[in-house]
Amino acid sequence: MRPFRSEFIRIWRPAFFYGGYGVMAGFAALVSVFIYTAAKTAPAAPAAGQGFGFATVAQIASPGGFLTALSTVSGPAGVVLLALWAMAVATDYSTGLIRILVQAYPHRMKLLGGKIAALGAFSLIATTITFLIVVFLARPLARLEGIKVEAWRTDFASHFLKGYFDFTLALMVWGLIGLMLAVLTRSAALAIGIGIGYLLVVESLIAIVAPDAKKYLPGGTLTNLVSGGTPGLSWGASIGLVVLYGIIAIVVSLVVFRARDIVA
Amino acid sequence: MSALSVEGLTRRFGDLVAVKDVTFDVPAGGVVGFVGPNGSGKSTTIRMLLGLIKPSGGTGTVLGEPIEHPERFADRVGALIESPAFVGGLTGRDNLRSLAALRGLPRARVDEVLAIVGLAGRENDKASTYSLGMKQRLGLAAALLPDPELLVLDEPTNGLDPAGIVEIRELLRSWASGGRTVVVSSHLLGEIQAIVDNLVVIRFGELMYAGSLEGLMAEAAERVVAAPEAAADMPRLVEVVEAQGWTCEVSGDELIIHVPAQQSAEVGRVAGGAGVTLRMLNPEADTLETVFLRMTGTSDAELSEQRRAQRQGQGS
Repeated sequence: MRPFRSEFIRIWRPAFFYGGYGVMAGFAALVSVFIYTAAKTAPAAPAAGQGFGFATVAQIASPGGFLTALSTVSGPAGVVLLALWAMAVATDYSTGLIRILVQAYPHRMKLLGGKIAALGAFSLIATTITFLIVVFLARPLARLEGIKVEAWRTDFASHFLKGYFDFTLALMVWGLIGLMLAVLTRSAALAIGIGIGYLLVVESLIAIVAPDAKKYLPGGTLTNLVSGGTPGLSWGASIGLVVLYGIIAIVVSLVVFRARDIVA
Repeated sequence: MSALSVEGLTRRFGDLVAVKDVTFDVPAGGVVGFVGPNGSGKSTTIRMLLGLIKPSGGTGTVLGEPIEHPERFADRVGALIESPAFVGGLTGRDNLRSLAALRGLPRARVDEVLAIVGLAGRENDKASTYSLGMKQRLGLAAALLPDPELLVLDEPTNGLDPAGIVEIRELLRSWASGGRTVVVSSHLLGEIQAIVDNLVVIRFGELMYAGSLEGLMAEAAERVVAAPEAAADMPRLVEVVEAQGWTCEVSGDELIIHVPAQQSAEVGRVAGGAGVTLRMLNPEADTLETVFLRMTGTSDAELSEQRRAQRQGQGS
């Protein structure tokens, strides 16, 4: 509890407020507007192969369609959380604060555990705000575009809860990946660069070379989960893989942090 | 009881032996100077003692507890290691609040240490706006938070103005006078000399000296420097000084006589007896800096060269 409270005081500052809540909320609003206004005119995603597409009116008007923007929001929101978690860890090394923290509280596993819990709590608030913005903007935007939304009433609660769960879980794992990279590199710039570079560039290249493999890789799985699963990888399998990636990130971070000398 | 005790403490970084088989014992109570040239292994030793770095060999205790279990003494130790480190976007108070929460201390303790280090009134400003001296005070406040039995400070007066240096020096002395131990690592030997009771001197990771300041200063050379009022009297002065069996050397218009400083009056009498009027008669003694440099080397550049040669020797 002590490491959690200590970390929460440190992350409760303007850089995290605006860099976290502000940017994610901004992305959610921007993407929502874009998805709804483009639905009637923009091309849909190709049925097979590579290519980018937008949500169609039919998709938006279907049951659970009020969450259509969520899968697109999850990418940039995930990157924001990856960067914030990485910054929270790597800044301790770059400033030398890690020396003070470990000297004051040598239980390293608990220290990092408290940091994970505090960042998790912070991220939970961020994902909740982002999710609610997507949901609350859905109806007025659909009305503006003349999209019928009667079907949204079908299983609204289950779609809402499942969407919230998937989105939150996926974004937490984005954060955990940022944590692991920062513990490994001890540099915010390196951790963010490697994380974003891998997820946006390397996975895209892998998708070209081995299209079937993409859905099992971290970035693909996280997007897949927020989309509610695909025929290639079910929702349940997506959850299992995402949880596995999260556990790997936590274990690697704890093992490395416990064993490594503090030379910062 | 010892505040710090190490035996055969060793740390290697690849081929480099940063700390080599160091053994010393620091008694509890008083101020201990931890000195050595840059890159001599001071910080590595302190980090091993505080559980930040694992030793490659050897053992040690802090306040009677083994260094392998820093959790057993962490609540009784405060440290400022190298430069003070804080979250710039938080106020000084919130930075300390965060550390107090980590140590399980009440908020009131934050106000107490802010007052002790003289930061009251600026505590609600962001740490990023603090001057170097204020950051140093904030770092000291963080180290004082647990009301420690052992306070380990690296360059505690760095960035402070003269008044601040005197203030912190007095604070450390009063802190140590209550039976607590303060370990001060510094390259400012004049600063160290003014406050320490004991010294640990390290060079190239090897222990050069561990003991009282008095014991080390016993090795300090003393001399009396005299200057005749008339330059023409110098040969006569040399003659009468040497007649006393004292060794001396002429340096410009001054005569350096190698006798204990307390014999300066006798030198004056001998000169007067020979009809030589002195315009200057100064008893002098080596400072800690002089003794230290004689023990460790003359300059960082020279030490770096020696270090390079030592590493090459190890590699061949």
